[in-house]
Amino acid sequence: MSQPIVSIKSVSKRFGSFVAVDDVDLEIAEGEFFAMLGPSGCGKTTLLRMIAGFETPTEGQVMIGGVDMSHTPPNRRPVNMVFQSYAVFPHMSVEKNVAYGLKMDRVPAAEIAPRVKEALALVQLSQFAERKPDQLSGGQRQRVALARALVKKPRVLLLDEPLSALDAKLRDAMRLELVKLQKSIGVSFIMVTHDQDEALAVADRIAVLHQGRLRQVAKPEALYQRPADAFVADFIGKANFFPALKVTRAGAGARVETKELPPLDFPSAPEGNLTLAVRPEKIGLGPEAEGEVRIEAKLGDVAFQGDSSLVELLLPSGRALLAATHGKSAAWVGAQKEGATIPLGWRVEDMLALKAD
Amino acid sequence: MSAGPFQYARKTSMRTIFVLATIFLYAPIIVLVVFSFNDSRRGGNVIWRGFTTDYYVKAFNNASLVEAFVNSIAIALISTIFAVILGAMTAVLLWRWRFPFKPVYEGLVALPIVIPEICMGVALAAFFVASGFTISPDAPWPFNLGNIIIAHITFSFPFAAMVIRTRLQSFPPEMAEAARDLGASEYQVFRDILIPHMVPGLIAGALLAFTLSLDDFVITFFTSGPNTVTFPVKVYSMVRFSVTPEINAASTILILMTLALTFIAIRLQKPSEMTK
Amino acid sequence: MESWRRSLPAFAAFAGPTTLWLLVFFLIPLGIIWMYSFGENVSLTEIETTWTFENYRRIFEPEIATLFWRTVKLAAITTFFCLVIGYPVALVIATAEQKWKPWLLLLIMLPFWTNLLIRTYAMLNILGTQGRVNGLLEWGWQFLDGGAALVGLDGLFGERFVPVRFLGTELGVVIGLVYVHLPFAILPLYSAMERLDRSYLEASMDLGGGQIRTFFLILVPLTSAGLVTAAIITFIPALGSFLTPDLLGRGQVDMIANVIERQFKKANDWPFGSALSLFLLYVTFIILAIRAIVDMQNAKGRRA
Repeated sequence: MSQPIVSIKSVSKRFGSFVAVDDVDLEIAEGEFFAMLGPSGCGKTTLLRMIAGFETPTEGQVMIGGVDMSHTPPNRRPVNMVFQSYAVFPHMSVEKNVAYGLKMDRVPAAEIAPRVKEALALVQLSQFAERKPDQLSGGQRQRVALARALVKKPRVLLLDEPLSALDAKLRDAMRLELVKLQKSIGVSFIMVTHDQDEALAVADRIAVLHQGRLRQVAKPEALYQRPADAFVADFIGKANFFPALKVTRAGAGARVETKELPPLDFPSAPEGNLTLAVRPEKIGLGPEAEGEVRIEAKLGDVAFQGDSSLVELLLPSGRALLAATHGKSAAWVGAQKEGATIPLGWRVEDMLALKAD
Repeated sequence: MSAGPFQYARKTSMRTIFVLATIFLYAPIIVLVVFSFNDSRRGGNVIWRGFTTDYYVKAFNNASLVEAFVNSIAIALISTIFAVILGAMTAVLLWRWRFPFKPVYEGLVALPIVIPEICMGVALAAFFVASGFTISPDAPWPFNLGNIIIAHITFSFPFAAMVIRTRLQSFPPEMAEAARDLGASEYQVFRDILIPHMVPGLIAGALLAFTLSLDDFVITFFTSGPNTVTFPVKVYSMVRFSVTPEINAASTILILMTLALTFIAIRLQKPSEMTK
Repeated sequence: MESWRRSLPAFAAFAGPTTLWLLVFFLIPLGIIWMYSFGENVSLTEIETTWTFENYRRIFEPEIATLFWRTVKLAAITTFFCLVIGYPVALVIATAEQKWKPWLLLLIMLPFWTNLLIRTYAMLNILGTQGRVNGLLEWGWQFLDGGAALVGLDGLFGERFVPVRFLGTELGVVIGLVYVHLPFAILPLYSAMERLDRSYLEASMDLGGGQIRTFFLILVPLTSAGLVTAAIITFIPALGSFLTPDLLGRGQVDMIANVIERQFKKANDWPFGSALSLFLLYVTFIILAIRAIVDMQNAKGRRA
C-alpha cells in the first residue's frame, strides 16, 4: 500500500466510563471505497466523526494525508461528510447549498459558479439548481448532500449511513451509483453502515467493528470466506455454529470435538476457545450429501425463494441448522415430508474453526 | 367515519356548550363594535338610534387620544426590537450551554412571566423613583417614553425567549455540523445556519412581544407619567369618566389592529410549518 | 449542549446583556420594594427602611385580611368556572376533525389577543342595569310572564322585571374574570387532550365502561395534569387582577391589587403597598412551589 490517505493510530474514545472506540488501528488507501460495518453502538459512527473532526480521540492519532489532525477543527480538515439525514440547509436553494462550502473557503465568485455547475452535473441535478430542499425527494436531497461535499474536492468523502433513509428500491439503485461515482472521481470514500449487504456490495475493503473494537479488516470475499472470528462469521452472511467441547492441539492444527458432530481435524486453528462454523450453502442434502462430515437430521420448515430454498434441519440435540439448496437438491427436499429424517453432509475444508466470543 | 364514542365534537350537548362559550367570548366585543356606530350621545350602548361614523371622526380629532395611540405603537415597536434581541440571546444561552446554576437562571428568566403584573408594576415604579432613573417627560419623543419602554422590554423578553427557545429545540445539530464540515467557523454557522433557522421563532416572538406591549395596562399605568400616556391608559381614564361611543370607536380600531396582527401571524407561520 | 467553559467569550457575550437587564430592571426593583416593605414614610417623599414588621402586621388586620380572603375566593370561583366551561370546549376542539382544529382553536384564542382593557370595557357595557344582558333577561322574563298569564298564573315570576345588578357586585366581577381568563384555561386542557392516547378510552369502552363513566373515570384522570396546569394558569393571574374588579366592581368589590394600587397612587403609603405586593408574590410562589413538589413526587412515583 502506498502512503495511506487516512491512518488511525491506536485511537480510543471514551464518553465518561463508556468506551465507544477501543484502541483501533486502521489505514485507508488513496482512491479506496472503504466501509466500516457493525451493529449499532459498535463505535463506527464515532470513528467516522473523529475523522471528520466532530469528536477528538481520547487517545491515539487521526492522520489525514500524513498530517496529525486529531485536534484540527472540522472546518480545517480536507475531508467532507454526507450526513445520515443529509443535513441539506432548508433555507438555501440547491445551488446555494452546493456553493456554501466554496464560499466558506473564499473561493473567488467567478470560480464558484462553474464548480457548482460541474458538481450538480455529476449527481444529475443540473435542472434542480434553483429548487429549495423541500421541493426535492429524499433521493434528490441525498444527491445535493453528495454534490455539496464533493464540490470541495475533499481528499476523503465520509458517508454516514448514506442509504438508510431511502426506500428499498432506491437504495439498491443508489448503491450502484455510489460505486460508479467513486470510481469515476477516484476520491477515497469511507462509508459507515450497519447493513452487511450494503457494505459487501459497494466496498473495496470492509472493517468490522463490535463493541468499540476492530474485529477484522478485509476485502468482502475474504470477510465471507475467511472470517476472523465467530462474531464476523455470524455478522457477515449466515452460519451454523458448533461450539467446541474439547480441543486437542497438535502443532498449528487441532482436533475438535463437539456435541453434534464427530471429532474433526483442522490443519490450523486460532488460539483460545473455538467454535466451528459452516455456511448454509455448503451443506449437502439427501443424494448430494457428500464430504467427511455426515449426520442425520429431521426436516423442518422449508422456505422457497424462487431458485433456491432455505431449509431448517432439526438435530437430535434439539438445535436447528440452516441449509440453502439449489436445483436438483431443492427439488428433492421439496418432495420430502416435514419430519422426515434426511442425511446431511459437508466437507471439513468447508468448515471454519473460529475463535469463539 | 361514524360518530364514535370519542367524537365529543359531534355530541349535541358538547357542541351546545362550545357554541355558548363562543357567544360568551364574542358577544361583548360584537356589541362594542356595533354600538361604536350608534348615533346616540349618552347611554350609547343601550338603544340603537341609527348608523353614524361620527364617533370615529371624533376619536380621530381627539388629539390626546391620537397621541396616546401613537405612543402605544412607538412603545410596542421599540420594545419589540429589544425584546426579540434579548429573548433570542437568552434562548441561545439556555439552548446551547451547560453552566452552573442553570435551573436557577431558567427560573429567573421565567419569573417575569409568572409574577403578578401589579407586583412588577409597583416594583418598577419604585425603582424609577428611587434610582432617579426617571426619564424626563420633557425629553424629545420617543425618549420621554423610555421608562415605559424599559418596563415593556422587561416583561416581554422572557416570553420571546420562551418562543424562540422552542424553535431552537427543533434545530437539527447535524445542520451545524454540516456547515462546520463545509468549512464554516463557529460564527459563520451562527450567522448562516442558526439564525435562519430561528427566523420563524423570531417572528413569533416579535408578534407576541408586540401584542403584549400593546395590551399592557397595569405595568404601564404605574410607569407612565401624566404626559406619557398610552392608548390603554388613556382609554382607562376615559372609561372612569364616562362611557361614550367614542371609546367604542377607539376600541374598535385597536381590535381591528389585533385582527390584522393575528392574520399576519397566521400567514407567516404557515410556510414554516410545512418545512418542519 | 456544551460546557460554558469551552467557549467562554461567546458564553459571556450571550449571558452578559440578559443577565444585566434582569438584574437592573427586574431584581433590583423587586429588591427595592422588598426594602420598602420593611420601611416607613419619614416624610411625604422619603421612605426609610427601619426593618419594621408593621406593614406585614397590617395585612392581617381584619379589613385587609377580609379583602385577601375575598380575592382568594373570587379567584377560586373564577378558576372553577373556567375549568367547567373550558373542559368541554377543549374537548370539542381536541376531538374535532383535523382540518377544523386550528380554526376552532383560533376562534377561542382570538378574543384573548384583544386588549384586556377593551374586553373589560366591553363587559362593562353589556352588564349595566340597562345593558344588553339585562335587556335579554327582561325579554326572557316577558316570555315567561306571558306564558304564566296564559295558564292563569299571573305574577308567578314577580309583578314586574327587576334588572339584575351586575356592576359593583361579586357576581359581575366573577363574570368579568371568567370572561377574561377562559382562554387561559382552555389552552393547557386542549394540549393535554391532544397528547392523550385514544386507545385508553377505547379500552375503557371495550371493558364495558359507559360513556359517562369513561368520561369521569378515564378521561378526566388522564388529563388531570392539564387540569392542574389550567387551574394554576387561571388562578394566579386572577389573584392579581386589577382592571376587572376596578371597572366592574365599581370600588365596591375591591381585590388585593386594587388596594395595592391605592397605596401607591392615592394613599401614598408605599411601604404598606410594597408589603402587600410581596405578600401576593409569596402566595404566588407558594402555589408554584406546591405544584413543583407534586410534579416531582409524581415523577418519582412513575420511576418506582
